[in-house]
Amino acid sequence: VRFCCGGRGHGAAAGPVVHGVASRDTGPWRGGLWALCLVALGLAGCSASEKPRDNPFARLRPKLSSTSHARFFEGQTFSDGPSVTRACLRCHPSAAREVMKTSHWEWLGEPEMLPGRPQPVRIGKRNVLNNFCLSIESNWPKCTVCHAGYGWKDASFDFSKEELVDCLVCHDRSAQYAKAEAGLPAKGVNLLAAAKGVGKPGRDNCGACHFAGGGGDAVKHGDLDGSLARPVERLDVHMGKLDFDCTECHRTKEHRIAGKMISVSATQTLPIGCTDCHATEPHKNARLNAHISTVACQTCHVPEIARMRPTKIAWDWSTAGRDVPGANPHAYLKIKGSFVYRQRLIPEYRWFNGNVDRYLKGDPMRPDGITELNPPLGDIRDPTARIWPFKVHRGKQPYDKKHQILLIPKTVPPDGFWVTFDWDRSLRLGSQASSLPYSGEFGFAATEFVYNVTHMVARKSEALQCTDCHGETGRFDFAALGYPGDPAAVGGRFTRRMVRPAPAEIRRSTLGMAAAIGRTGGQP
Amino acid sequence: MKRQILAVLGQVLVVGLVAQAGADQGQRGAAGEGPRAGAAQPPPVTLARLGPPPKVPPRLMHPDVPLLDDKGNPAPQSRRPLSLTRSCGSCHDVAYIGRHNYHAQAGLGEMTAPQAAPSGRPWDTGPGLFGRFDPIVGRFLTPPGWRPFDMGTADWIRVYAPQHVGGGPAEWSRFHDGRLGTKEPVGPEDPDAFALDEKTGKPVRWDWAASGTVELNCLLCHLRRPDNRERIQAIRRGEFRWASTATLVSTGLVRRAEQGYTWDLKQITPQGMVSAQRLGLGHARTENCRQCHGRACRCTDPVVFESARDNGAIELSGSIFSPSRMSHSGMNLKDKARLTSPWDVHAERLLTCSHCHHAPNNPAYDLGRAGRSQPLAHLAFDARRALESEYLYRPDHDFVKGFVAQQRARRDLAGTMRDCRDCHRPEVVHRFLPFKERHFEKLACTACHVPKVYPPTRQAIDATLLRPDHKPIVVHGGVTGPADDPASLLVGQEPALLPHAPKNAPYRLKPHLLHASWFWVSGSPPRPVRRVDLERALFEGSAYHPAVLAALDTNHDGVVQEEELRLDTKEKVWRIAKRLRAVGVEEPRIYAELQPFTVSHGVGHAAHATRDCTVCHSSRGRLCTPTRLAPYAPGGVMPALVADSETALPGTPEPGPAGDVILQPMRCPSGIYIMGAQRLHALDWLGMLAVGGTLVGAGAHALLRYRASRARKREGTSAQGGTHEH
Repeated sequence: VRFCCGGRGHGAAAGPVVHGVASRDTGPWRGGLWALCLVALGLAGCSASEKPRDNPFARLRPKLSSTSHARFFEGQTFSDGPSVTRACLRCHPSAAREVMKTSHWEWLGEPEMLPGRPQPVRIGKRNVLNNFCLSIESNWPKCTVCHAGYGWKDASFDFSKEELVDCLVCHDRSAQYAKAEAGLPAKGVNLLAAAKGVGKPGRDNCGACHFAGGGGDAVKHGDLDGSLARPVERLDVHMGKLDFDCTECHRTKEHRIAGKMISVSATQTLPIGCTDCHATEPHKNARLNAHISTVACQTCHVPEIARMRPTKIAWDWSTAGRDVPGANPHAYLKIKGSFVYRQRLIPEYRWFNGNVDRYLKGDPMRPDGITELNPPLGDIRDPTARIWPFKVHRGKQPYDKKHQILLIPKTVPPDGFWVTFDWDRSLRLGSQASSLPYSGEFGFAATEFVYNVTHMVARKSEALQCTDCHGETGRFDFAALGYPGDPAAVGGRFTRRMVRPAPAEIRRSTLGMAAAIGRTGGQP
Repeated sequence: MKRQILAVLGQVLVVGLVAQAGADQGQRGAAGEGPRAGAAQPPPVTLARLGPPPKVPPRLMHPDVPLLDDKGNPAPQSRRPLSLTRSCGSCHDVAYIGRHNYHAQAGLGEMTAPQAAPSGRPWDTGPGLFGRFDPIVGRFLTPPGWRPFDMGTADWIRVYAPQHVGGGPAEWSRFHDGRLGTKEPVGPEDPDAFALDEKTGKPVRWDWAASGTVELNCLLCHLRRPDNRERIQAIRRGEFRWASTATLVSTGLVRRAEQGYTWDLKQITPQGMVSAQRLGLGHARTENCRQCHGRACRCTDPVVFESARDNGAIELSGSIFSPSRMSHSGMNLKDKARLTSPWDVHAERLLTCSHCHHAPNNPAYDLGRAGRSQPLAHLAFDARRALESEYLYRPDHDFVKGFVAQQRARRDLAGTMRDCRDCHRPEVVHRFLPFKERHFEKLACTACHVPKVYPPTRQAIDATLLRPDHKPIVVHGGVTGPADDPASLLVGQEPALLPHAPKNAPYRLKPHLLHASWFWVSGSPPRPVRRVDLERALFEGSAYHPAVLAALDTNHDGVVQEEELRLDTKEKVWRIAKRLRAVGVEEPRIYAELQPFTVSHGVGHAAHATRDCTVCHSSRGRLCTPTRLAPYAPGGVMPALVADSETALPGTPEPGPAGDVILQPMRCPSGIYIMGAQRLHALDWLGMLAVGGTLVGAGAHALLRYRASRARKREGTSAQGGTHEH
């Protein structure tokens, strides 16, 4: 183009040209403009013919600085938490009402349909059993340390009082705030300093509860622990390299925070995903993109969890109550039983379509087998399901031998198991508080609880490679996933054999894949 | 890692079940006994299942295997050595497999008379492992009648045990069609019948009846965990016939006994049958190949370099065929964090050695390249192939292979394997590359896709002197410090791009590592000085001979320092030669040669390939800069290229400015012209002539036109004047 343009301009300037605009004085300028247009069109054509690049930064929101609240509280004193909330509500009158509609306040989600149940149910931390401290019912004061409110110490807590909303737990940026039993501010907390230091929530605000779930740092999730408060790049590329706060992905509107944890929710009503920022086919390698309809991004990009701090993978309540002098507190505690911790844990892999089933209070359990409390839904025939990494926590919990249901013990003082070490009494108290039948005969049964892994995203250079999953030493149990063999050898869900797919096939979207498998009746 | 976790969890489970029984008893006691006060150990986790269920091992199609001795009786019961010829031969044509097997034959069928070998060395008697001198080993297979005697067949079997799979020359005589030891010696120093006594340096009769022969060891390649170390030890001890049995030690079926090996009869039926699964029988895996061929494995464990303790192949070609990332390796690599590519991307993409180096008659891999061979040139693809049963009965073990400089035996098979373009479509992904076809035609893919070789490789071996441990001096490339030291920094080395021109194929520039060797030869025709003679010349007891010490100890401290251990002056050479003559070596002189090794493996991710044109197309490019061959030249002798590498040197080895030996590239070697890298003066002159001529022509033309116009003006003026006059 430049050559043509130069030639034409030269011709126009050099001598009289009979035809065209170049014979006028403005000829060279016009020629130049035409050439520029041609170059622009060419560039546009080139860029249009290429696949859109993965440019996640285009979808990031600019980081806004928080308004300093220091001068708003000059001369004020706060006697308790609600007094701080009242002060906040003077300027943010709708904030408490917004919070009170969320699961962070109610500890209950929206009504959800669960498999095999005729009616939608509302589940949340308030009414489900888990694999750690088992249930909050009868144990409120200890569990509600992490409630975004003040004073939930028993079943009579008033969820309608706006002043009981705890603004500071999420917004305190002074690092001077901490909560104690029943969610009340811990002794010695300077509430005025905390109120003056409020701002947009950071990782340590969310982490105050989410890093320390299950009774200690790194216990519950495996992919969420205190190391993410000040992460390095190799721990999590988003938080470490790019300094993301949690709210960068868990986007929030009117205090409703996107993203659901399958430990307390069965469906994804406010889903978040990698494709909120990344392209649906972000890899340059077509074969990698061909995995997207079957393998979750996290499967390859979170090769291991608990990278810095060990996480608890097993908890056996049946051994609790014995005196074991000198026992390693990370292996045994009299009040809690036996544990197994693992660092750099390789997740387990299961099909997952975003939903889970849920064991609910009073459901029948399997005394001789494993009762799965939140089994992920989906299998190889489910086109919406993909293979996800999970942290699987295996436990052993008390159950009623006669009614064959899982029981809820009262563990907290003054009369719970942690003081009396009397299982029968604790189970009786817990059953009364949770309205469960208790026959007086109890045993301990195996349970399983899963978390889908989605944090601790490694650098792309650390992502899994072919041989990490395929081949003799691969980490996948393809037989358990429903494959007749290694799909690299026998073919996957959407291919009869792993041959080089035609370009058109590669570009088929996940939806197209789903439609295709739908037509074939889900047969691989 | 996963297995370790499962193992630990399994242990916890077992212990837990025991503890659970105790706990149940405690509960039945209605809490009367209470907890065990003062127990030292915490109660373990008693979960029913802490990990996923164990995998059900795939059922092998291979039937149970009879373990037979050479008489065809069950070997476990007869207590005789296992005969794989009998055992595997029950179903497979082992004789065919042994004959069509260059790993076993090792060049036995291609042996030549001395001075007629393709290498050009007068003492070589063949192109293969059996007959071709290896400077690293330092011993040569003595032809019949040659003196002094260095290595007979029995010596060869023991020396090359780590590299030879058995069968071929380890079983059959090179002089007749029978097995070794079945005929009387043809002469007093028949190399089949004699072996070297390293203490005396004289040949002694080898008792083949006592040792037996080393049959082709199918287990070495087809067993999941062959005990190669035990096999080598059995061969080194001279227990040749027990070599196959020794390979089974790792399976637990046999164990070492005072005399040979004994079987665990509990695991074997009275008929001598054992299941293929118990044996761990199956396809040859990458790990099997790794036993001899460098660091190859399909495992995802980080690669840890073991240097001298590793097998020799890695030190020659630098091949690491592993899927794990270089950044995850246990090696002390320079800029390790940035080396995120796997050691070999093909291993990472699930390929094994046999995917490329397959049996030519394997119906699953038969290329069907009828169109490339006569007389079926009219066919593009030949669909006819062996039946599975035919293949399983007679699998051809002359595996297909590519074009490399270091291939020696069965050179006729070179180029039978798929090359890169049989699987890849480079023209699709090399959009950035100008003159694609020209590049693909003249440049091997590995030239750009193996920009560096990271394992330290043997750059030079100086066998003109020996270290105090009686080993030759070895210089490694790509490492700063001793190659054995894990703390040494592996900086890697750029392989030299050399034109490789196989017979009947055009040349291509391929990456090569050059291995220079210096050693003594003697007599006429020349032959390598025996290592035993060199030791006798250099040492007296465990210390250097006083004359040698006097020659080498230049600082007179009574100790030969590492930097003194080199023949860098004529006087030193003369003194050592004198010592050699003193122990009976005739006409000792230093011989030096250069052996290229084509780098074919270690292909990284595309992102790690060379994309900078100036790496080649500049005056400082890879083809223009000197390649360092060795830190010094013993005796000042410059090495010459071996004759059988089918590779050309783009220059000549010559002394470098720092006393080292460099390969100085010529300006325009072998008719290769690389734009930007080389200058053809004739072309420069031609260009200048063209430009000058154009300028002169244009100037002359302008001058003429100017003169013509002036002439026309003058003529016009004179014409007008004339008219007026009229």
